Formats: sequence, C-alpha cells, structure tokens
Amino acid sequence: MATIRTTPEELAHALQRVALGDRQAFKTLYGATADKLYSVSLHILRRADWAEEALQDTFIKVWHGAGDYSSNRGSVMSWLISMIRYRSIDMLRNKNNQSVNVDDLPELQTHTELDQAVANSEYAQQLENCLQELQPDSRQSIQLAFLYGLSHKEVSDHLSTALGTVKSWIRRGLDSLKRCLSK
Amino acid sequence: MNYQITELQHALAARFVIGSMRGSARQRFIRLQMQFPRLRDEVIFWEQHLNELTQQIPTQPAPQSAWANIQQRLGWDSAPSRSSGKTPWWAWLSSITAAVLLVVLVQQTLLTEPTPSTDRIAVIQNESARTLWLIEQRDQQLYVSATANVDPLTNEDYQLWMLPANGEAPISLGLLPQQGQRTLTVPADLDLSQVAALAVSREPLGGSPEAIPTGPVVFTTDLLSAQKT
Repeated sequence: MATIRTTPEELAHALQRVALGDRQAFKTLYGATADKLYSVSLHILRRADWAEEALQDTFIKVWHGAGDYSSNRGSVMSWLISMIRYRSIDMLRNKNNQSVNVDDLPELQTHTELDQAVANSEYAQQLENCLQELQPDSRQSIQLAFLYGLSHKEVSDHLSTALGTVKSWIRRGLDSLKRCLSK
Repeated sequence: MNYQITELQHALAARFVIGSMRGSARQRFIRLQMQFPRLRDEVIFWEQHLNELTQQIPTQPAPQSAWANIQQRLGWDSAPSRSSGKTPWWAWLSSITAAVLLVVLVQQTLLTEPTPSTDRIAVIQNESARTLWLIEQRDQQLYVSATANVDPLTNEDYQLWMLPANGEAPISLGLLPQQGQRTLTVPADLDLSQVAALAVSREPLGGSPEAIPTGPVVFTTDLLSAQKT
C-alpha cells in the first residue's frame, strides 16, 4: 500500500472516524502512516518480521483505542510514533534484546541532522535549535537511545565510553534540553 | 520516592520517552502516569519534541502482508494468516459457505461413479477456492486425499475437527495427510449425521496437546450427504 499524503488535520479527522468504527478511515490512516511507523520500529528492532509484528500490534491497538486520543496528547502522528516506539522497546526486552548488535549501528553524526525540508513544525524547529546547544557527546547519546532503542549500557558499548560517563551525558543533555525547550 | 518533585518528574519522563527506562521500572512508570497527571504531562512534552527526531529515519515501505494480517486479526478477512491468533470454535460457523457449491458439484460427479457406499463427502478449499483435500465418509471411516495444493508444513500438522450440531466443543477427527491418502477412523460413539461443519487447524507436530484446537483455524467446510434423494 503506497503512502497516502495527508495533512495533520486529515489524520485527526481519520482517527475520529476510526473511533466511530469507520473501517475506510482506518485504511486511510494506515495508508498515511504505516510506512513511517514501520521504519521507526525497524530502526529499533532491526528485524523486519519483528517490526511488522509491532506495526500490526500498534494498529490493532489504534482500532480498539482510537477514542483514547485527544489533541492535548500532541499530533496524531506523534501519538502513533510513541505507540510503536514503546511497543518496539517492550519487544526488545521480551525478545532478550537479540536484535541489537551495537557494532552494526551506523556512526551517527556528531551534530543533528534534522532534514530541513521536513523539519518545519514548531516542535522540530525548536528541537533542532536546542539540540545544537548540547555538547556533542550528550546529543549523540540521546540520539542513540531514542532512535535505536539502546540502553545506557549499549550506548556505552557503542561509544566505548564508561557507563557512568554515558549516564551523565544523557542526564545532563536531557536537563539542558528541558530548559531550552521550555523557554 | 516522591513523584511530586518537579525535577524527578522531568528526569523520569525523559528517561521513559527516550527508552532508557526498561523492564519493570517502565511498567511501573506507566501505572504512575495514571496516578500522577503531571507525570503524564511531562511525557507528552517530551514525546511532542523528541518524536521529531524520527524525521531523520529514512522511510521504508511496510510489508504488503501487514495490512492483510491486521484485517485478519480484527476478524474482517477470512483469509488465513501466519500470525493470527486463535479463532473461537464457535466463530467457525460463520465462514463455511464458500465450498458448498463446489461440494455439490463434486457430489454430483461422485454420484455418477460406482461409489454407492459413500455416505458423505467434504471438499476443503483454500482462500483461492483451490481444493486441498477431498474427504469421503463411509461408515466410521474417513478416506482423505490430499491434493498438490496443500501448503506443506515442516514443524506443524493440519488437524481435522468436527463441529457438533448441538454447539458443543469441537472433536478431533485426526491429522490430515500433507500428501497422498490417509484413512481416519471416527470414534464409534460419534454420529457424523450430527456434524454442523468440519474445520482444519494448524497444530504442533502430532496434533493439539489439548482436547480443543490450540492453533489457528485455517479452513472450514461442510460435510454433505452423498445419498441420492
């Protein structure tokens, strides 16, 4: 199913229809978001079959729980991304973390690479600016944890840095981000 | 731990969202969000901002099978699915009609052949209406012939079940051959005239470890009388 381009408002409308049991709206929502969500999961799980399982689980949950969404929980896309990220992280634990070999991860750039063509939302712009203010080590550690689902220990292994140091980088980075994002 | 402390709320929510909080701590934090709305607000704050990081991830197409499997799991599509959950036995009755017409045609064909002792017949088809097994019942014997259309299983068996017309739990009739022929003996106390339908499930090698199906039901069909009226 090719990705259907939709606006955030159209996604919100589709989700409202899904909450009323509209199967066509569910198909529209799936078509508009599945590729993105699958890619997010695949980044964490690094196995296509597990990522598909996470995608299925997420949409089953969406069908049964669309009414739980409210606009104060962020955009529909952000809500969906959180759902599949958390499902993928849970699967990592349940499957004994077998998929992650930190040696296989590509080297992340030491600076943020948000695509300027798509980093056009208010949150994206603000995040971009605040990430630039972080120390490179903190920024990279946070990205590794968030995008690849790595634990502190795995980040430590990947960067060949002491665990305590990595914990400190992440904690200080998040504190700085919080202050910057709250301005 | 005092979850009302603002700094602690920040730290826990951030760790939860980036994923570095793991295991039982993660499950406990999900429960705490229900108890402390401020924690939930913190989580939403981080989600709204950090989820923008996913824009760095190149988009790859989701597998074609995913949508079909979702529909299958929601019970919208009767096609078999490799990852579907168990189907309640009482739900089988709703998906039986597809093979009936072919059964009638085969029945008419069989009746022109010298097979006077056949009591009932059944044709089990896949979702593409291709015949997988032909079953003939004579007295308490089921003569089962597998066709080349049967998708062979390596670590599982296909198990045949009868669904009693009185609505009771399904009863095993034995394992189906994946090729060639096999004769299954129906227990003497089973009256096959009281069968509402037949069903096939995928089970561990040797069959279901329980008295009822434990694997997904993948095919259903009718057992029709082959006697001339």
